[in-house]
Amino acid sequence: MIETDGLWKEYPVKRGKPARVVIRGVSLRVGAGRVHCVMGLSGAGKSTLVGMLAGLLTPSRGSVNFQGEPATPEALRHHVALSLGIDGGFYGRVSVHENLEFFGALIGMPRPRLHARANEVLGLVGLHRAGGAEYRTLSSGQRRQAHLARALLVQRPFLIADEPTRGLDPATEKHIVDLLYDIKKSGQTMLVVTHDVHLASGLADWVSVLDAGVVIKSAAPIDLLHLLASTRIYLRFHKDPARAVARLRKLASLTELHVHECEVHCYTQDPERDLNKVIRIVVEEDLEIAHIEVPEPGLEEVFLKVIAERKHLEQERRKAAHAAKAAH
Amino acid sequence: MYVQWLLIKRIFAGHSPLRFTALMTAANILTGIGVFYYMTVVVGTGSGARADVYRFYGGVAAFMAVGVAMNALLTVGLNAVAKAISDERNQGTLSYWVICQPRLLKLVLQASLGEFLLAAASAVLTFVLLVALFGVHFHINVISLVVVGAVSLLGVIGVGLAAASLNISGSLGQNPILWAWGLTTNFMAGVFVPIQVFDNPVIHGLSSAVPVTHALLAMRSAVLRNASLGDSVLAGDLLYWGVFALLMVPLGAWLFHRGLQRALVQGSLIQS
Repeated sequence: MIETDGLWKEYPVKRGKPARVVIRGVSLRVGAGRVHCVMGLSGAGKSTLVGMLAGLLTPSRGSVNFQGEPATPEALRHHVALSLGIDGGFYGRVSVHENLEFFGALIGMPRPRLHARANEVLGLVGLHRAGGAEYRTLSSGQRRQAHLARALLVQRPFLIADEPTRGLDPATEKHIVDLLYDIKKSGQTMLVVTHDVHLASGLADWVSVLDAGVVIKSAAPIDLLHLLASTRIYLRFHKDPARAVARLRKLASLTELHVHECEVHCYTQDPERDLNKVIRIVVEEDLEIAHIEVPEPGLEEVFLKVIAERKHLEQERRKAAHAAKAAH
Repeated sequence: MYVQWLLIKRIFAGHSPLRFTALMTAANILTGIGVFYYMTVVVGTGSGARADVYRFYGGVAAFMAVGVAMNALLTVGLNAVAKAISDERNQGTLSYWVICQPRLLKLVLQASLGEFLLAAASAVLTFVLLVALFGVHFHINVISLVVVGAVSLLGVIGVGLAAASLNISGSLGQNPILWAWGLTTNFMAGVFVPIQVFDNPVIHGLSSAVPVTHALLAMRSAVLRNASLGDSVLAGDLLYWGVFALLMVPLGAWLFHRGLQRALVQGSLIQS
C-alpha cells in the first residue's frame, strides 16, 4: 500500500556548511490493512519520517510509493489522515467541536454532516464531554485525543498516528488503545509512531526501530521477540566499570555484552546462574552498583537491546577511529 | 460560504480577546486622527507647487484624509495576507490547512479577507471621522472609485502573496517585503504631502516610481475631484498602478508557490 525506498532527508543549514542529515536511507512498507509501528528514542527522526509520509516534507533522496506508484507530497496529502503528537494545531479560543467542524469543512465535508460527524468522532476518542470546551483549556492528553478525532473525521486510505497515547491517564489510554484495535479491525492501513511498547507489541503487524535516522531493526513483533533468546542483566555503576567489564567478557556463559559508559548489559541464557557470577565479579572489583535489573522478556526489551547494541557499536567505532588517529 | 464564515470567526477567536482588539482598533483610529490633525497644522497649505496640488484635490485636509485612509487600507490589507500565514504557522494549523485543502492559495486569500474587511471598516471609519471633524468635501465618481478599489485589491493581493511567500517558509520575524512597503509608503508615497515638495530630483524620481503614490493619487481623483476614467490625470495614475497590480498578481502567486515548495524542503510545515 505505502512503501518508502531509500528515503533520505537532509535539512539545509547555512551556505557552505554540510546539511543536517535526519533520515538516512529508510526503506519500509505498510501493507494494505496492516499496522506498522515505528519506535525510536527522541531525536531518532520519527517526526521527519512522518512528515515525509504525510506529504508535508519533500525527501532529499529516495521515493515514497503509494499503491505501487511513486507519490508526490501533493498526492500523499490526499491519501493521508494525520494525527500529530503536538500540543498546537487547533484554534485555542475555539471549542474542540467547532475546530473539528472547521477542518471538516476544509476537507470538503457537506455542512449538514459536519455537526453530527464531529460529535461522532468526539465520542469515538472519548472526548464528547470536552467537545464544547475551548481547545486551549484541554490537558495534553485530551489534545492527543482531539488530534486523533480530527484524523478520523473522514476515511482516508492511510492513517498516521504520532504518539496517540502519550500523556493519557490509564483509563483514557485503554479507551484509545481499544479504539486503535477497532480501527485496525476495520481494515485501516496505519502507521503508528509510539514509545509504548505494549501498544506496539499488541497492535502492530510489523515494527521498525529507528535510531539516528536509520532503521536498525524491522520485523514482526514475534520475530523481534525471538531476538531475545537470552535474558538481559542490566547494571549501572557510579564509576567506570572497565576492569569488571574485562572480567565479564571472559565469562563464556554470557552470550553478549554491551557497555555504554557506566551502563552494562549482559545477555545470558541462564540468568539465575550468571547473575551470581556477575555480582561476584562486581563485588570483587569493589564497584558500587547504582542499579541492577533483570527485566522480563518483551518488546520493550528488544527495543532497549537494539538501541544498546547500536550505542555499543558506535562507541567501538569511535574508539577505533580515535586509536587510528592517535597511531597516525 | 461556511468555510468563509468560520475563517472570519477564527480571526476573533484565534487572536487576542475581542474587547482588547476593539480597544486597540479604536486607539489606532484616534492616533491616526491625532497625527492627521498634527500634520495639517504643521504642514499647512504652504505655497507654490504644493499649494497647487492641495487645491487641485480639494484642500490639504481632503488630500491628507484620502491619503491616510487609503494608505491604511492598502498596508493593513497586504499585511493581512502575510499575517494569515504567520498566524497559522504559530498555531501549528498551517500543516492541516495544507493537508485538508489542496488549493492553499485560495484558502489564504479567503483567510485574509476577514482581516481585510476589518481593515476596510477601520479605514472607512477613520475617513468618515476625518471628513466630519475637518469638514472635508468630496465629490465621488462611483465608477472610478470601484475601478480604483478593484485594482488596489489586486495590487494588495499580489504584494501580500509575495510577502506571505516569505512567512510560509522563512523565520516569522520582520518580513522584508512588508518592511520595504512601509518604508516607501510612509516616506515616499505622498500620504501627507504631495511628492512635488521633494526638490531633490533623485528622491522625486523615486517617489514618482513608487506605485502606491499613483494609487493614492488615483483614489484622490476618484473621490475628491469626481474624475471619470477618461480624466487624463486619473487615467495616468490608474494605468501605472494597474500595470503594477497586474504584474504583481501572477508574480505573487508564483512566489507563494515557491515559498510552499521551500517550506516542504525546509520542514517549516511540521514545526509547531
